Amino acid sequence: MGVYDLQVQTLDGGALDLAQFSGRAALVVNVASRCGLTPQYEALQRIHERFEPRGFSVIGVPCNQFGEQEPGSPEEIAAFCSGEYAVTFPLTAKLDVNGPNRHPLYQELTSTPDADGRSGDVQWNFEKFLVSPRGRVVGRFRPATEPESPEVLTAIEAALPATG
Amino acid sequence: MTTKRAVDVVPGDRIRLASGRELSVTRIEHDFLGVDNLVCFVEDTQQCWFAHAVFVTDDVVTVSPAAPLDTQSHIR
Repeated sequence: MGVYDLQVQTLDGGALDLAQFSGRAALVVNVASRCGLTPQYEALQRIHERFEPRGFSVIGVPCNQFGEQEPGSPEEIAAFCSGEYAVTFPLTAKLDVNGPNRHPLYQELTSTPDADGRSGDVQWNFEKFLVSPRGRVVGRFRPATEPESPEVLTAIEAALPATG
Repeated sequence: MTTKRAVDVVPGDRIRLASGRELSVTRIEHDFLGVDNLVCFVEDTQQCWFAHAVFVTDDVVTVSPAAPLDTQSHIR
């Protein structure tokens, strides 16, 4: 089972078959609108635009399990993301990323350790998981790691599909 | 219902957030996200997973104090 074998709901209630990202790298990030880390949206949008032509997408996953910092309705979340940060990358429905109702996507993602060898629960909003074009999780970056930090950019470059 | 400093909260305490939501603290993470004096209270049970981060000097409303140690075996 890989990440791209799974399905999630989109923010507007439709189905998002992650198989559509097969052959592309993706950075899956649990997001929130009222977090001190929310300005990371700006850099996430930049890396989405920068690498999208080379086979990459950011996928945002709204989650309200951290400090109730994503309390809004789907419409409110969508309006915030487009209005404040001009987000164009896909957003899923609000999901649980930890605990008894953890979505299967995050069961797959959280089994991957970070650079310190720690797997398990997502720590806070804006934790980042890098998925290879074959749907394997190849990187995990904790919330305080900026989306445009050298370690994230280097990992994305390495995960992009081969050209030609 | 009482108020205590966040630094004095212990696993087993049930705290009330400003929104009215209550959280049964089962785990406390110190120096959270690498920030000195930031702690994260986590409720991690078979029913619920929720986290709330505060500075150690913040006041926290405690709904019920931690049970004595010998009755905390249900907390994981």
